[in-house]
Amino acid sequence: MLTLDDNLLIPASVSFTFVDEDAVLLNMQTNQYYLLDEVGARLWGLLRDGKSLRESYQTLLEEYEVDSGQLEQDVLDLLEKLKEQGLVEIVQA
Amino acid sequence: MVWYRLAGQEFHFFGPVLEAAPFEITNMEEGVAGEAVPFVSASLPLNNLISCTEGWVANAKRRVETWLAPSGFLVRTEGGSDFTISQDGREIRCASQRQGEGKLDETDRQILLGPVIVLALALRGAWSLHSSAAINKDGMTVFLGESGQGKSSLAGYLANETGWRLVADDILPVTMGAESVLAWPHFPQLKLPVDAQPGLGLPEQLPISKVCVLSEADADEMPAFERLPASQAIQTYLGHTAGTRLFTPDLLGKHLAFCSQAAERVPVYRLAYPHRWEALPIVKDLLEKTC
Repeated sequence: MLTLDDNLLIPASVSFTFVDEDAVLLNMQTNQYYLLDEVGARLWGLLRDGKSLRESYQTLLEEYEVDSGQLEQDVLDLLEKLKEQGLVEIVQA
Repeated sequence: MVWYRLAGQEFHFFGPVLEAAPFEITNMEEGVAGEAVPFVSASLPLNNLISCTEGWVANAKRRVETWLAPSGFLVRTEGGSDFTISQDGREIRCASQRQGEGKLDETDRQILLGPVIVLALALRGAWSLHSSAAINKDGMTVFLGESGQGKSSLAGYLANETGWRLVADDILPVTMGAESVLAWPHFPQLKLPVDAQPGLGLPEQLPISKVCVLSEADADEMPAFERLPASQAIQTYLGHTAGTRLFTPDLLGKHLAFCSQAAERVPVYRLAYPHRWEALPIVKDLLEKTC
């Protein structure tokens, strides 16, 4: 199970682009594309910029009117799916 | 060896290819040929399978593999010959010709002008849209859509209307220009006779004014345009580019970057209309009003 204290890495095999407020991710190993909506794209951008998962979560909490517990659950659910698809990796500390 | 200029790029083939005849370069100066790709036999050990997929090639569903090969790539298609492509996409050779030097059967010609040339173009920065296209005084419109959504019918209808001309009806190579996406219509359209290639007589490159994704509306609905947001536009380009399942990871990344830029530069519309003849004049009017 992921937690907000895990360290995440975007693998070199993942290419991505931002389009308007969304993001399109490509796993170049599987040739599969994924679309992230506005909030997911913002999270991806924060991770791309080197923010930790907890820092990214805090930023989202400040930017969106959302319950903190719900946001944590949504962020971890999304990242769990991204991890399953090889779009992020957990880095062991 | 024979030279062809397809989609603005010179290709050096091992022999004549009937379907590409209109695009043969007949005045190529001697001595300009690039370095030849070493002949690769089918028995040569191949290092690395890049991709393996199934697709509709030469009138049949066939397994197509892309391998890293000495000096480039090898495309192996079920039921056909192997082809090698140099790393820069310029030289294409048939690695295991079945009918003697310089002669390819129809299956191999369609493999060459299908997955092989699509991959070679991608290596040179040109992406092949599975599309039809027509042009009028206001610019070129590219029609995308799944099979059976009317791409050929609509472009064919427009081509017979005053002020319109057919540009493509199968594969349209495109590249990124300084300000817009450029189409390269000098490319064999395998659905059309060799002597009726729509690219002949057109400029070698044309800017694309708009892209329409076709979909079928209910019989009682009026044709309608809807501009797609950029995220859907990029998915449209991604989903209608031929041969992406053959691409190397590097090419996939470049293709994604192209689609992203294209989605910003060229408006993409969903064009929904009932697939009946009476709707086509209304669609034409809509297209002419949506400049």
